[in-house]
Amino acid sequence: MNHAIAVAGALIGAGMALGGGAIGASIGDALAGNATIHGVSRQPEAQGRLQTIMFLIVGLAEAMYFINLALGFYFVTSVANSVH
Amino acid sequence: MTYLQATFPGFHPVTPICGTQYVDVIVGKFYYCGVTMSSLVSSLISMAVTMIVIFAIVARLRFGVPGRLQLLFEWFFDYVRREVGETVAKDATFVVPLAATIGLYVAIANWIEFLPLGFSQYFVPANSDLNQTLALGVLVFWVVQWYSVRTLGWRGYFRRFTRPILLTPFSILEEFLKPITLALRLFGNIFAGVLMIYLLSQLPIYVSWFGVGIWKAFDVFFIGTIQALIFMLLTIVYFGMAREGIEEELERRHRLEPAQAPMRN
Repeated sequence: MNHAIAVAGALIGAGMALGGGAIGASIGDALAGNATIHGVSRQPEAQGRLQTIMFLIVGLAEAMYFINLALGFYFVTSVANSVH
Repeated sequence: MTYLQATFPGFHPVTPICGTQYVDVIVGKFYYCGVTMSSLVSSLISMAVTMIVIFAIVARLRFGVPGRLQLLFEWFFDYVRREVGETVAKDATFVVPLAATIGLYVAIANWIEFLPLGFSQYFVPANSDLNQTLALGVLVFWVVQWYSVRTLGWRGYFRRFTRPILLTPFSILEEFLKPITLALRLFGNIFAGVLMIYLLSQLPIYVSWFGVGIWKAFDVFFIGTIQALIFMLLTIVYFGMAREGIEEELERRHRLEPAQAPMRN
């Protein structure tokens, strides 16, 4: 019974963390894309440089989400294995 | 689908090499001294592949019309050199090979994930182990400290942390958090990629071949490359941050001895 409650709590927590992380990552991606579009429309010749930077920022923003995913899964499995 | 990802990802078995005493923390057993064989083997493979690629290119260097691979690497090395010149300093040349090596090694260690690695538990993407990425982060941390002390001197080094005196604890904390965030970012991305491959390979085969193929292409060649690039660029940025306040330091030295102010880097 304890085990079931602990696993349920861990799953709910991981789900909330994943949802919040997805919201944050998508907002970050959208901001980076927005700024890139503005920059390209002002200076079309800078597209190459801006795209490199945009992919970098997208990578940085998504990294947080993937850390969320990895650590959430890690905590869920460790709770499921350790609480009896 | 055992040939895709048979072993459960992320839990690298530790082989104790001296004694079997361990600390039992909630997330696992930590042996006092042990070797994670899977990370060791796969990082050695990545190192070997990196060295073979580099030596093959060096052996076939051509003046005049360069080959395609040589052109790619010349572009890469030129990019790193330009970044170092803009962010750190023109004469901080030792950062260029360090950053380029780290970037190339991390990229190749990530790309190895594209192969079907499920046939043996010793073949994993090397960066899906926190030990590996934390080792890279700690290496960067120590070299950055050494560079900071050598460039600014001890006085300038301590001034970096006490510039707004109220924020000293946060400055020190930030300095220690840099390698940890560097390591966690890389580890989280690669580990999440391995995890997704494992979860997708649990689906029935008529779905999973498609999912695993798409995910591997996206994860390895987009996320893996971007993360290697980010690791490399953040290394360069940390070197740039390590020489903040160089102008004040040079000015002070100049005031002390106007004739021969030491102009080290």
